Order: sequence, then structure tokens, then C-alpha cells
Amino acid sequence: MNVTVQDIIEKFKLTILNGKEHVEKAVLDESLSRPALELAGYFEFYPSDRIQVFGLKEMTFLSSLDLETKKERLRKLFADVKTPCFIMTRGLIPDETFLEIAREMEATILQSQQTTTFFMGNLVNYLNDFFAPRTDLHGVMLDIKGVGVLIVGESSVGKSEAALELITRGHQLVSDDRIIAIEKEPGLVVGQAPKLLENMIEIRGVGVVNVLSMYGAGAVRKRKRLELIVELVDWTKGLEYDRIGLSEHKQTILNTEVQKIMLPVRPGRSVALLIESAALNHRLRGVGINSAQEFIDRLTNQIKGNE
Amino acid sequence: MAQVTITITDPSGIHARPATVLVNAAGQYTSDLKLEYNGNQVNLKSIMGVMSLAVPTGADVTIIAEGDDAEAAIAGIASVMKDQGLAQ
Repeated sequence: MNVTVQDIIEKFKLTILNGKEHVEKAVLDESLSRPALELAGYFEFYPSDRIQVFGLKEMTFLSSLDLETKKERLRKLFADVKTPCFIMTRGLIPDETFLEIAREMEATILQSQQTTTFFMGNLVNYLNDFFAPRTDLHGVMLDIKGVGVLIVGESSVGKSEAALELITRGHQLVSDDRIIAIEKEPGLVVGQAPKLLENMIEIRGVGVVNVLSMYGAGAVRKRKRLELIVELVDWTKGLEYDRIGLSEHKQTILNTEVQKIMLPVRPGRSVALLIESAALNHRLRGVGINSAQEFIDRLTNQIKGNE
Repeated sequence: MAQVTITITDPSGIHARPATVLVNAAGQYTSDLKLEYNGNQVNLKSIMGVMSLAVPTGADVTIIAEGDDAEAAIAGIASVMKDQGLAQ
């Protein structure tokens, strides 16, 4: 997925100070650079394919240089056509010399009103989405009491129906049928809906339903960290399920291990209720309460007492 | 009705794993199955009940079956218990 300078301008409501004809340029590196050392004359490791951010430090230093040195360094700084853009933060306005060299070198100069650190944090976060590893998952994803749960299982096992019931119980839909999983960092996978599917759920026999219109703004969520995978499996005799809840199943998505449980389903069982309790139990474990372990400890003690 | 008394040899007694084995084995039969230990009787098809007995190793338990496949159930469960190292 490509991100262009234009996308960044729109996202962060940046002002174009120069070079609006080059805003279709693609951003090829997710890192940012503050060119303070380069302005001081050190171009050895200048990462010219990155977005360059000018804060108060850079601009103040620049104004301390004599005219010729300033021009020379700016020319060097603006020389690489691969540099996507140069962004002034804090609403800083470059002087006429700066803009003159920018025009000469056809550099795109933008301006943000945000403070440097804040802006860079937001921009890195935004760019990370485009460069982070991603994959498609099949299933329904919801936010159940703060736990991002992906419901998977063979088609017609009742995933969407369970999701609908969960929505009516007050939980939030992230995406139905297809989920884009983005690994923001190893160990942190976030799920979101493809644009087209946002807020939509397909219910067999009813059709495609807009959850946002039908159940309100509280029934949907744009994105959510994936913490638990619930696989719905046909209740088959002979298949062994975890009766105590001690065994830990994991599924690896990209490079992240996600907790997984197998939920046996059969007609008449309230799947939504079961998924809800699985999510709550996961949450409970997150705060250090493992009911299964607690029970096992009790049992061990009791057996010892009976020996 | 059929019944059998078995000595538990699993070093941890009827702990969570052995209880799961027992309950899964019992679930294969239609007969009414009970597990008796120390004068207390529980449904052998219900795991929480089975574990609630907290049967230690070396203890004698009785399995009681009532129904069409009672004999088969007793034989089957006893053999599973031996195979799984629960009893001798």
C-alpha cells in the first residue's frame, strides 16, 4: 500500500509552502529525520529518502549561519529527488532564502501547527500503518468488553449470527468476514475492516446490514487490538475439549502469537454468551486472576488432604 | 445394574487430567453412570462432580452403571482407566 505526500497533507492538514506540483511523490521510508547534523555540515549519513522534519532547533540554527553557508547546505539538503518532503513544525515560517533555494531545487516544503515531538509521534504512527506487516484474516472481529476477539470457524457454523447477538448485547463490531490484521510491532496485531465492509455485517436470509445505522454509534469500532481467537467447532463426540481451561492454544498471526480457544457449538447453545464469557475470562487473566489455575490448586490441596 | 470397584494408582489421584479421561469415557455410553468414593456418589459424566470427590492415589472407587449398555460401560471405562494409567 502506497502513501504519498498528498495523503500526509490531508491527514495532518498541512500547509504547502512550496512544491505543490510534487505532492504525488510516494513516501518510501517510514522513518523520519531531523536534519540538524546535516545543517551543521555533516552529510555522511544523511537519510535523504526520509521525510525531513524541521523544528525550532533546526530553524534557529539555520538562522545563525551566514548566507553562503546556509544556501550551500540547503542545496545539499534539497538535492535528492527521492526526499518526499520537508516539514516545518510549530507553524514555523522559513525565510525568503530558504524558500528561494526550495523553489530552485523543487523541494516540497510543508508546515504543521503542531509541536515537533507531538507531530513526529503522530506521523510515525500514521506511516507505521502503511509499512507494518499486514495480512487478511477470515472471520468476524468484535470488541467484547474491551477484548479484541476474532471469531473463526467453518462457514455456516454461525459466526455472523453470534456476532449479531453480541452486538445486541452491547459489544462492538470491528469487521465481518474479512479483517485486515496489521502488526504494529511484534506482539501487537490490530484488526480493522476493509473500507468497503466498514460497519456492515451479512446475515443469512436478511442480507447486508449496516450495524451503525441499525444499532447506533456504540455498536461499531474502527480498529482494535486482537487478543483472542475463538474457533467455533461442531460439537462432535470423541473430540477432546479443554474442560478445565488450563491448556494454552496459540495461533501465530504474522509474527505475533495470539491466544486461541476452541468452542464446541451445537444447536440450542447460546454461542454469544459463551464467547462473551471467554472474552471476560481472558480479561480476568490479564489482571492476574486465573480461575482454572485457582481451581487446580484447590483440587490438589483437597486430594492431598484425602490421602 | 453393573458395578466395579477399582483402586486408583495414578500418583496425582483423580486430578484434572484423569477426570477428563474418565468423563470423556463415560460420555460414550447411554447408561446412567455414577462414581462412588467415601460414601459420596457423583455423576460420572459431569467433570466438576467427579473432581469434587478429590480422590487420592491408592483409594478405592466404585463405578455403578444402570441402563442398556451398563455391562459394556463398566468394561469399557475400566479398560480406559488401565490404558491411561489411572488404575491397574
